[in-house]
Amino acid sequence: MNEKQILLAEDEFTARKLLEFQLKRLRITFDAVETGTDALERFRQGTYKLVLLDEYMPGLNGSEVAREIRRINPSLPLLAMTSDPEAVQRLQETGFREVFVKPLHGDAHLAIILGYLA
Amino acid sequence: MSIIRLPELIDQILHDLSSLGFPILIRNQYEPPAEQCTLQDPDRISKILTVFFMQLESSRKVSSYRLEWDYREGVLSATLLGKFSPEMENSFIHTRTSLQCLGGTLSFEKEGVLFTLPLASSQKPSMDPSKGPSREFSEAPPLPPANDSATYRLEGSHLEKGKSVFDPEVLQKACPDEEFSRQLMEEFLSHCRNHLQELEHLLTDEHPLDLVKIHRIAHSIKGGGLNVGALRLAEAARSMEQQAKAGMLGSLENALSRLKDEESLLESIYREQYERKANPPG
Repeated sequence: MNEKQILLAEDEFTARKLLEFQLKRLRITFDAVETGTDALERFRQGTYKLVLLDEYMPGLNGSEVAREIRRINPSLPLLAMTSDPEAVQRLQETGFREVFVKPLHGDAHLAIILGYLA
Repeated sequence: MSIIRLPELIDQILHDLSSLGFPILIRNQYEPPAEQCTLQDPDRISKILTVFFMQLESSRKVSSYRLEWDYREGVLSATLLGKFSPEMENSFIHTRTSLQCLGGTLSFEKEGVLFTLPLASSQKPSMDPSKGPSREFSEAPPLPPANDSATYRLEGSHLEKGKSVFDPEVLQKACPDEEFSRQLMEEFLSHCRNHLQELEHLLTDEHPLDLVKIHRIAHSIKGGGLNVGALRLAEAARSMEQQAKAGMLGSLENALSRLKDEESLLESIYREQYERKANPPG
C-alpha cells in the first residue's frame, strides 16, 4: 500500500509545482495529481495523513472529492485551496478543516500543514 | 411610482459611449428590457449598468469607475467618475453635447485632480485641450431639492493603478531557488501562449461559444499569473473570467486582445530583466 503524508490535487500547474517544491524542501512526502478524479483514485490506493484539494478542478471539484473521501474516512483532515475568498465559508461548512485562499504567498499555509502532520 | 424609461436611456448611453470611442460590442448581444423599470427595481438597473462598466474596464480606456444615479422629481441624472486615458479626455470634449441628454455630469481625473463637467448646465465650459481641463468645472450644478428621490451607486472592481507587468519578488518569496523559478516562468509563458491560441480558436469557431472552457482557461491564466508575479496579465485574465461567467459574449474578443497584449508585454519585460541579470552591465 502506497503510504505518503499528503495527497495534493491541483490542476493549475504553477500552484502545484510551487507546492511540490515547498513540500520537498520540508521533506514532506506526497502524491500530486491534477484532477479530482485522479485524487479519488489515488486516495483509494494509498494511505495519507492529510488531503489538500483545490476547489475548482475539471471533472470532480474539491468539495465533491472531499465528500467521497469523508465517506471512506470521516476523520481524515481535509484542507481546501480556492482563489475565491467568498467561497471560504461555504468550504468550511462542507467540512474542510482549513481553507487557503490563493495565491499562496508566504509560508503560513506550510505552518498549518506541518501542524496537521505533527 | 417613479418610472425610468430604461430602453431609451440605455440606448442613449450605448450611443454616447460608442462615440467616446469605447468598443461597444454588446450592442448586438444586449437586448434592452422591453418594459419600463421602476426605481423600486434597483437590482435590475444595477445589473444592466454593470454590463456597460465591464465593457469600459475591458476597453482599457478607463481603469476605475464609479457611477451614481440620482432621481429627483422626474429628472434622472448620472454621474460617471472614471480615470480615463489622456486620449479619452480629448475625445470626451467633442462628444460632451451628446452626453447632455443624460442630464448628469461626467468627471475624470487628471494628474490626481478629479474634474467634474456639468453636462446638464447650459453654461459652455471653455475646454481648451491645450490648456487641459479647468478647475472651474470641478463642481456639478446643484440638483433640485430632493423630493421623491432615490440614489444608487455602483462601484466596479477595477484595475489597480500601478500594478506591475512582472514583479520578480512574488516568485522569489514563494521559491528562493532561482533556477526552479526560471524554469517555472518559462513553462508558464509557454502554457500561456498555448492557452491564448486555444482561446482564439474557441472565439473564432463557428460553433456556439464554450463559455465554461473559456472561463476555465482564463481562471488558469489568472492563477498562474498571480503565482509567478505577472500581475497585469492576471488582472486581464480575471476580467475575461468574469465576462465568461456573466455570459458577456460580445466582450470576449476584446478581452482576448487585451490578454494577448499583456502576454507579449510580460514576455518582453521578463526577457529583458532576465538577460540584464544574466549579463550585468560593465
